[in-house]
Amino acid sequence: MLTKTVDWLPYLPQGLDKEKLYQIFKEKAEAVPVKVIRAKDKAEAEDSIVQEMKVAGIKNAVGVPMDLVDIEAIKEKAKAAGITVSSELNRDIIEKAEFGISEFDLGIADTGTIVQDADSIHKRLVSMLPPIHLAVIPTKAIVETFLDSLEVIQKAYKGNPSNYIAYITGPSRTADIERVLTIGVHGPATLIVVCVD
Amino acid sequence: MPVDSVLKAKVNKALSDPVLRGALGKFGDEFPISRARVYEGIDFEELRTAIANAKKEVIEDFEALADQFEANLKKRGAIVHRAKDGNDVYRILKDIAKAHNAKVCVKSKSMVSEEIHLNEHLKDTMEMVETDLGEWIIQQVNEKPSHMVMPAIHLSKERCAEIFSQALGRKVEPDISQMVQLARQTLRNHFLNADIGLSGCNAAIAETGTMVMFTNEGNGRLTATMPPVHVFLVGYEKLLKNFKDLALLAKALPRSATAQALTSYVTLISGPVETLKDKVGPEVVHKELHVILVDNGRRELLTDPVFKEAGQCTRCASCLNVCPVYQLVGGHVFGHIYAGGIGSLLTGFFNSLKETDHVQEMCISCGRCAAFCPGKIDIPRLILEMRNRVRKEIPLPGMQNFIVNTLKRRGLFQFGLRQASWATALFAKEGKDGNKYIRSLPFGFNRLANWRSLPAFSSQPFRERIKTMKQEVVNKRGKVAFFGGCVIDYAYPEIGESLVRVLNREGYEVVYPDQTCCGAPAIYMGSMDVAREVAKQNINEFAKDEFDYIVSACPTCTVALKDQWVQVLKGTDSEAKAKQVSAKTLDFIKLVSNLRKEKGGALKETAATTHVATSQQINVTYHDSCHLNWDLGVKEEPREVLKAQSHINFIEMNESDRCCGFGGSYCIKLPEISQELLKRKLKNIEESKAQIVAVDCPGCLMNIRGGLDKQGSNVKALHTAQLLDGKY
Ligand code: SF4
Ligand code: SF4
Repeated sequence: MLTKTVDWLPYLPQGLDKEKLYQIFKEKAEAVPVKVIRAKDKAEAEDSIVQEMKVAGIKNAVGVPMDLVDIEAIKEKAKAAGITVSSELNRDIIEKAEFGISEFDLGIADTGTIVQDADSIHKRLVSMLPPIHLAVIPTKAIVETFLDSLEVIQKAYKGNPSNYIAYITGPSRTADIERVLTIGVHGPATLIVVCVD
Repeated sequence: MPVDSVLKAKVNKALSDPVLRGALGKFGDEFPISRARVYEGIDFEELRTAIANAKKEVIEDFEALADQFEANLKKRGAIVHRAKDGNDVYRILKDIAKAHNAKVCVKSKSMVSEEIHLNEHLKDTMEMVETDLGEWIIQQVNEKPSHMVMPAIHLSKERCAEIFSQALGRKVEPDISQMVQLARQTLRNHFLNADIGLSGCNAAIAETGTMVMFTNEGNGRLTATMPPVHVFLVGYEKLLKNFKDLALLAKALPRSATAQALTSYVTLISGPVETLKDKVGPEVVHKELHVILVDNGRRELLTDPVFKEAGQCTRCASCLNVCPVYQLVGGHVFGHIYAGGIGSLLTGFFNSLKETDHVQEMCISCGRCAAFCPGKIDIPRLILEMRNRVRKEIPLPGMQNFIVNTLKRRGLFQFGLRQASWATALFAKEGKDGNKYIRSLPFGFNRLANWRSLPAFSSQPFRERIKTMKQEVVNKRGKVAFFGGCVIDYAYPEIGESLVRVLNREGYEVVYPDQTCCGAPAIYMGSMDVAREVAKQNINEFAKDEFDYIVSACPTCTVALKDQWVQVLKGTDSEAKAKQVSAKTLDFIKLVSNLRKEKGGALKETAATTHVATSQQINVTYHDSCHLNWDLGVKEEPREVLKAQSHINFIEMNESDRCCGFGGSYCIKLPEISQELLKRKLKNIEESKAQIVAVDCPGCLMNIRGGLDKQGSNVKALHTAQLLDGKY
């Protein structure tokens, strides 16, 4: 059974050039900057998630139940590396975590953006409170433009979009003091996207 | 009084604020470059036309769309309120706060809340915490935003560090990333404890009942997520009809606002979302979502036959970023709550005509902002309309009022200009370039001449000279009516003579119909009635079939004949004539370019027809006059024509299309600003290493020539007609 209420995949535009869109997505996202990783299957994705946590020296991470990867498997693999991963819905645990893992529904190649039905409070907290956010998306769900993404949403929800749809393009940023670009204000300072084939 | 000592003091204070000047100046230089980069590959004209059309549809139907928006939200369980004004908003929020026994309200950015001074009115009800970094900083010192997108752009990092130190009760160093981290920590606690979240929105979609926020910091997401209650303040002008229209806004707003392809976060909220019970969980409940649709002058704006165009605004603030006056003084002088040109329009409706009076006076009518506006709003024209409306309630001060009223009285006007020739003769001295200048004036008038010399008025105006000019038309092709304009007629008749000779060589006889002022000065001072009078006095002489073209060598006059006469004479019995004149009118340089292209072949081949009394190469640079470039869209033509002259070595100066600061009556009204703009222009001219600066507007010529004379510069300023005539 899917963890999400509405599956967007059946509503993707026909005949997408998956490889080309992935390449554009990667280039645009990296410019924002986002770290983009590609995994050929579930196991590889889970391994790279654990690897990212190791590299960042993480002790406490949080995640939500997902379809593309198995949160329980991640917990197991992380444990071996001395990292605790919690999928409990508790604000204070999530707030103290250094790393959040969640699944997004779509990518936009044009701008290196990821899109998510974020009505679920759990998904939202995990992606906004910790300083590092890692999102998994299906590689085949990368569309070309913002307009394409709106069309997918319109179709998937039959004209009644979910209460909260989130578009994320890179880390949280500000230029409010002397227009100097500074990363990581209220949201995560680091964004990692794992595209799962 | 429109420009009084209070405004003057504010202007002078801003001009002598190095932080402000540095920050805004640097930003003004960088913004157009990064903006152009992020728009690469996108047809901006097509995009903004689509946005303007989508917004126009909304404006025509906004009441029904607001109803649809409300109904959709209610279906999802949101509570929708309508607020007539600020008082209604305070009341609604106080009720919500009371029902939840709320102590703390976290706010993500909302200009509506600034406009109604919300924090001040609710501070006794609950603690109001701004969470946008810039807004939080200015909230600590009780200031208003000086920019719609970057509210604290007027503060240096040192000043920010002082503000942080005071707010947090400990010493904070002026280290930007450290301050950002401190803000994160401080505000995180507020987010966790807040009872109410309050947000503004960038779009409100009727079709789906969706509110959209474009943010970068992530405070919008937290505001919408953490507290159990969320309130949106939505202005009627934020409505969009269809869900897919959001794609247009997403393409333009981040690019025009911050030169980003997309902001870090775009948040779409269409109903009460999940939240955690008692803020911590694990039980999940639904939030209470309130949406307050705010009027506060918007309904009046959106139904105003003229000003509804301002409803197309996306609040991207790019019009401020490119405005040469905003760059000098910032949003606290050129702005009320909403800054810049568009700010002066919004203030007129959201606040009052009186409050916008000072603000709208700051605009020099250069027209630059309109070229950048993604809502395709003719901001400069609307400002003139606003000025006209304001002037009906608040009259002009002495000097300007005298000028405007003299314009109406044709005889007196011409008499006055003639008298000026002998009066100014007393003060005239010869400059390096052989022209006569006035370098200082007695009494109170010296403020007009002490920063740039003024031309001495000619003893014989052009209207007399043309009578005795022999016109040698070779291979006659037709007849051109020449609208001279006051400056050429009385101060620079030699430009008129050059124009006649150049057009004669193109095969056209030049006639000089009886004429008075074009009326533009009245329009720029906000007196449409006077402009109408003056247009009427001129129209019959020009609306004649015998003329193939109507030409002016002053772009301000050209704009008057081409656009403004049609506007002011609309609905009168002269309307048809005004249209006839408009269709035939073009600026001198555009006409020359057209005629030479018509003759077939490149401009180069025909260039030899110019009689030039020089065998030496000269270095020439070109200044784009605002009304020629931004209003008439003539930019390449003068360059093509000049480059085609084999003896001219054309050099592009930096910022050739930046206003020189003349602005007609503006330099009488706000010489402080004009002077700063001129300084920068002169610097760019000197740095180009040109020997001659060519211009197409006698106003710019007067200003630039006067500035060069005052500096003792060796560079000469000439009208393009003089260069093409070989007279230098
Ligand atoms: S017309 Fe010029 S001075 Fe006036 S608001 Fe626009 S850019 Fe600024
Ligand atoms: S008037 Fe145009 S340029 Fe200015 S803020 Fe509005 S949309 Fe942007």
